[in-house]
Amino acid sequence: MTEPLLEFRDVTIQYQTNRGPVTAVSGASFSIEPGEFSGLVGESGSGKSTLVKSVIGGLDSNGEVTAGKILYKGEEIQDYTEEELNEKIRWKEISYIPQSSMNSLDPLQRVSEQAVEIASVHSDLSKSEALERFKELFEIVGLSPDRIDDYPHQFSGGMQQRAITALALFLDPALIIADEPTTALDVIMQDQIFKYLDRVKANTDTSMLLITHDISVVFESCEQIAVLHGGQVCESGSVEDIYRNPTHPYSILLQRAFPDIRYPDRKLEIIEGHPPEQLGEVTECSFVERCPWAVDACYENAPPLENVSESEQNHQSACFRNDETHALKGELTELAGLTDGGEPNE
Amino acid sequence: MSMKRYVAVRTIQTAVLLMLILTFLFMLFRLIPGSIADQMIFQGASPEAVAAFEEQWGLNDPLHVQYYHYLVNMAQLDPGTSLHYRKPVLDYVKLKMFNTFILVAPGVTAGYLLGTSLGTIMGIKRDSLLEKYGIFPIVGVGTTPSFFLAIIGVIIFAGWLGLVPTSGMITPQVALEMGEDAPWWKIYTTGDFLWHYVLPFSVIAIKYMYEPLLIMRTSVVEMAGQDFLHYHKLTGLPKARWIRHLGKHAIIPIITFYPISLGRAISGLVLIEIVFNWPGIGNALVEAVLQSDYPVIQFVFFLTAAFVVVGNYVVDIVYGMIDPRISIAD
Amino acid sequence: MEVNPMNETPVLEIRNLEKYFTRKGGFLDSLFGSSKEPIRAVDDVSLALDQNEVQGIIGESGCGKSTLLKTVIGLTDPTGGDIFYKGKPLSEFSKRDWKEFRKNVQIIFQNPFESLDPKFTVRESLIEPLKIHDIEYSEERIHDALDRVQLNPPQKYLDRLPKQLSGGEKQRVSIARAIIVEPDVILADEPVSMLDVSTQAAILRLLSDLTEELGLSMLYISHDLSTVSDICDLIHVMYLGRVVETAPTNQILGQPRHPYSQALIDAIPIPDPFSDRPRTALDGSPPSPEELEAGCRFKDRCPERMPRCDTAPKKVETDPDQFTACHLHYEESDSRPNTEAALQGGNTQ
Repeated sequence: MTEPLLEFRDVTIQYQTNRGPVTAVSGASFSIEPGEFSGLVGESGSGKSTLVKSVIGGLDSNGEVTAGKILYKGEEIQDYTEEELNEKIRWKEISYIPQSSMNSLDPLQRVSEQAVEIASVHSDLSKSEALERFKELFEIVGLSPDRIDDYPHQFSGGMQQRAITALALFLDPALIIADEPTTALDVIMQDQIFKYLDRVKANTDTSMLLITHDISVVFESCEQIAVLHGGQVCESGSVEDIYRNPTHPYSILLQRAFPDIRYPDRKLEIIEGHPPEQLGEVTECSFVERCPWAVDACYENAPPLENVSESEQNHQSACFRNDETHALKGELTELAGLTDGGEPNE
Repeated sequence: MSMKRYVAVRTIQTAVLLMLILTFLFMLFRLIPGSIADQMIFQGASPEAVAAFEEQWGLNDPLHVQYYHYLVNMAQLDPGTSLHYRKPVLDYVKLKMFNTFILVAPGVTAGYLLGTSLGTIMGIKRDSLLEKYGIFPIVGVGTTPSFFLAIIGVIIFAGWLGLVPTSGMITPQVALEMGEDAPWWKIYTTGDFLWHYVLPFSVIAIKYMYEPLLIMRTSVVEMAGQDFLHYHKLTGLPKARWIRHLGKHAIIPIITFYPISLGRAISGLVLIEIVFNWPGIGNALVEAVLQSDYPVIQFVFFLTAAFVVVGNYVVDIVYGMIDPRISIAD
Repeated sequence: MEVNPMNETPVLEIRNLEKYFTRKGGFLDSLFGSSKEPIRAVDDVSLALDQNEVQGIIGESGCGKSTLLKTVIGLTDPTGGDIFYKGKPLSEFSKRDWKEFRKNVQIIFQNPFESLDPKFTVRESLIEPLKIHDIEYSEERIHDALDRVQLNPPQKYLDRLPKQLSGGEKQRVSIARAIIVEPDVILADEPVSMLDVSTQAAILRLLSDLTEELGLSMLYISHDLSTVSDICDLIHVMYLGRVVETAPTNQILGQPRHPYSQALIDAIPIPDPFSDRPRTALDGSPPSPEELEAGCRFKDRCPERMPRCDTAPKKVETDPDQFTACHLHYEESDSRPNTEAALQGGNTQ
């Protein structure tokens, strides 16, 4: 197997607050292979944004990777200084599509000026080459190339999102981190954006790490998925494996909480409560308070990520009761009175 | 809306506003109790003399004719003749204006430059000692009335230390030495003038650094938290470049304030001029009021208002050039 | 008209509602006489909401659904048509009628993080509407409201501030605040769009149960068709100020007749890696409501565009209870486009 492009190894991230350290991510591990689209799914408060921001030095000033390693192409980058990040990582290797794309373009700069500035800092492209390249990208994301000289306020929200996407693709990064890139958009606009990302996937060997709360988007657009709850990776693997054989109780419930337009009458699962805010060290499974199958062991230790079965490569789940899942799942269906028409048969 | 159109709109608006001011002043001085002739010629003049005076100055004409003449005169920059000095108002006011301008404009500008730079540093280095404690003396000085600051300055630097003179723009002997025929600008080039200049200049600069400093500090902190500046950082721009972007955004409110402060300072530093006995427009206005020198008062009022209006106009144009959201609609 | 005349008067009825915004040009515009076309935010919308009925208004941002809501609650006056509450038009309301109306028609807003006063405890938030509507305050009433929104036990929540509640709990408090004055109608403006999926279903089910138990009627406004089936009886799909299709929920999800409804449904992602859903065929975004051409408003993005689309389509019954405004679904001969356009007012420009 090749070396992963990006790897998180037992990463713990804490924010210093006046109530003490808050652990946003604890012992998270997963990796992204070159050329792969990978989805990181979780509710608000799951730590998904925090985790990816740590890669490019985007944490708030009180946040810090306190344990574990982040490896980019085999090199540890978690302790990089601002200068090192600017020199080696940001936009040269990894570009970023922020959550708040509507407010992320500088209102005083023409979009093309911002592109030229980025090119002058990170590449040898001349100004005219940069503009040429930027025009091509506008074409790719479905914007008219003669609008590169517009100011951001002349674009609609969806168009700003595309311009931001064009900037992310601009210098041919090895990895794009997209933090909820379509959350603020209407469904049609969201689907258009993913249509362009599909095209990027088909035509380049760029990898993507997609952060979202929407499991459907990941199932449709990514090959790998990691489910995050309360700062811990619950389950990771290929989207097919996790779809067919979800093993961690949280992934099971989350999947059943999602509406499927093909089955409008299916009763949706409700997961009571919300991810906990963790003060100090985390020594239990973060899902324990919401889990219908929690046992004493779940309070005593955080369960490690373990392979689910030998047949499924890379499919890992962090639950002490991994082996009992199938039996428990049946119990759940009965408990919730599910009358769903079974899994969709394709 | 294009930039050109934006400028055209603002220009027309400004011209209309100036017209309104002129009209207001015209009405104001005709609403003052008593006839203008009574105020303008010596007491005890015969009715014939009054009539002749009124005839000569067109005071019997219908109001709209007077208004028309008034506008034409103003348009030709001919605000009339000073009653007290018996010479054209413009000549008299011009020099006073220049004296004020040469003191206030560099003073306020220096204050703004200093305040903006310090404010930027404080905003970027938040929670540093400079930011935490440096703010106290600045607020202290900034909230003290300017004449009081001026008096303190005079007591310390002129009185105790004797470094600079207490008042005036130039030592009388120096003026005499130069002779009556010396060109008007000559005095501004002398060392003696500079020696008189230092203290009032410093008082104004210190007084005027307070507002931009506080605004800039807040603005920098606020802007640094904006998504687009966070994005700039994550695109890997070097720190210096990033600060330049930050500054460009943060300085916008300062640019709005500067011409307004300048306009206000030129007309509003009467008390500083009095403390330093500086022969500027403020002093001239006080004098004119005491002597009921109406043509001078009217013109100085107009100039004062015009400064603020034109200041705002300049702000809007500059604003439009910096921020496309103002001038270019979507 | 598509709404069946019922024997009883609908609780809330909207008839040919129009809300046009005229844009004020500046001083110079009036000087140079450049007049601007009005923005047709809501154009000829009609619906009748019966007791204990839930209807959904679905559309993308900018389709006019928020303006419609504001007009319905009387925040802005309509420029045409009228709104009837229990048969009485809002335009003829007396002060007293308004007071009554404001009590009986309650709103639940999109963002529970902003609609609750951060300095009010849950108890204070619930007392406030009682004070406003001169309803006697009793601890029992407050407990009952919290109980109904499943904040149990009520004592646990009474003294909490909004910041001590999760998003879902806040939205439950907002709902409690709406039902505590015993209204007839609830207007819900995207009540779940800010919430996590795990809580969305719970809130939707709660709203659905409440309308059932309390006999409420509800207008549910959303951009998301994937969550409406739990709650709405009837769906109106809105595009650029007009309702393009109206049908019972499962019918519209199963067999949308209007190309726009079809596109909205097709763009919804499916939580299944094996589904081979094609990406949307639509390009671009809706045109700005300032520059609308005559005819069907969807024509420039419509994959089925025909020459006929340059005249405004009329709404016809394509299936039982399903009404669609699209030329695909009726023959030219049975339409009278000219009269129709004239009747719809302002479509001919």
